[in-house]
Amino acid sequence: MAIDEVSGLISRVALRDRTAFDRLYQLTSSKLFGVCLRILRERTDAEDALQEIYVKVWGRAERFAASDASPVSWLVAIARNHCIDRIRARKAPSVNIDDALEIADAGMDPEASAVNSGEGARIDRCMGELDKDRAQAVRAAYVEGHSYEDLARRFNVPLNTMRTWLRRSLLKLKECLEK
Amino acid sequence: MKRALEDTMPEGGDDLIAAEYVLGVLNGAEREAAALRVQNERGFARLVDQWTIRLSPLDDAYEDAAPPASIKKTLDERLFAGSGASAPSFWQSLNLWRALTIGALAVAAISLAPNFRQPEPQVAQLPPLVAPMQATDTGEVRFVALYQPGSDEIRISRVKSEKGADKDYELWLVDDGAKPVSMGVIPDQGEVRLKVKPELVKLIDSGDAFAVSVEQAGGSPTGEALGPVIAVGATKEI
Repeated sequence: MAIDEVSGLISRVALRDRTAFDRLYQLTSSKLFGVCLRILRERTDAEDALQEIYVKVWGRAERFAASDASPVSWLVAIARNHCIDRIRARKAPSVNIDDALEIADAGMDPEASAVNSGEGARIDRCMGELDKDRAQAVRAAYVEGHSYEDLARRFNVPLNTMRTWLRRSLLKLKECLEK
Repeated sequence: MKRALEDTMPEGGDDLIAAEYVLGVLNGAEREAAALRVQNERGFARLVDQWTIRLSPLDDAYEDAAPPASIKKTLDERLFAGSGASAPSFWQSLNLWRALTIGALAVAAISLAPNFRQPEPQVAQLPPLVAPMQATDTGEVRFVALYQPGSDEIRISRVKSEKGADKDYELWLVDDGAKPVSMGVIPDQGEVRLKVKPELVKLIDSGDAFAVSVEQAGGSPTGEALGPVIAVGATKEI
């Protein structure tokens, strides 16, 4: 996906250019649908979410100017935030502990890391400096949108312990990434 | 020390709250409060933006999955219903700018008043058009454009703006449903007169909007806005 093209398309969407919107959807909807499926885990819910996300993209494209994030990161952030809001609004948390841990492990797969961008390799290295279970918790939280409560249950630790783990991990990550 | 360092929870602080918000672990009220702060506090929004960038390499974990074609169709019906094949009305885009406020118009009048001369007699029957352009992120007025029908220039007052030295501001005319048309690069001064070709200047109409984007030095090479749009506002007769 050409970053410059996506960037230009978002600017044109801010100017209400519908052709640009169609092209933006064409280029980015598979990525964002992947985010929806991973976080929501239910296909019909993910389909509804994807629509809502592009309604937001159409309505908020002008705000992209205020962000330093890459256009794809900016779009993924909108998608993640929408999906996380959606699962938080669900009544009972539908966390399958085994599935989630499996996925968290898969995220550490060195083969998968090999195809990462330089930034990806860098964050993998910094994640490697954290304790293994904490790195897993950070990844599971980010990729799948689990709350502190979900994670505390899953790792079988008190809520405050989980919060302490993740806060410390975030501070360490920041320090490592800024080295 | 009462407890081992590893056992104490680091104090929150905005940076950590921003990090927790981006990570997605906050729940209910805490998450809502953080989301509200992103909308209303620039400093906090910056922190969230920085964490978004920091953690974005983790996005690699998401695998592409093609959505069914029916989704785009429903989406189009939802966003563009009633607009047929053409682009939706510029005015239908609710979030693009807020209704012009009295305040914005007052700023426009103040910033242009000192230099604004009466129009030439032969065009005096047409009132001048003014467009206060509000920042797309904060809503502040950043540019004011003034156009006297019949003249070949747009006067632009830069109320507040900052850009890199290797960038230029480019002015766009946005007509209802049509492709934005470049009016040219805005010279680097506080108040300028932008000469516009006759075939372009005649496109300007009351109710059209002006928008400013940040482009590479010399302006967009393609004729389409490539850089971010930083300010936009509708023209009104004064």
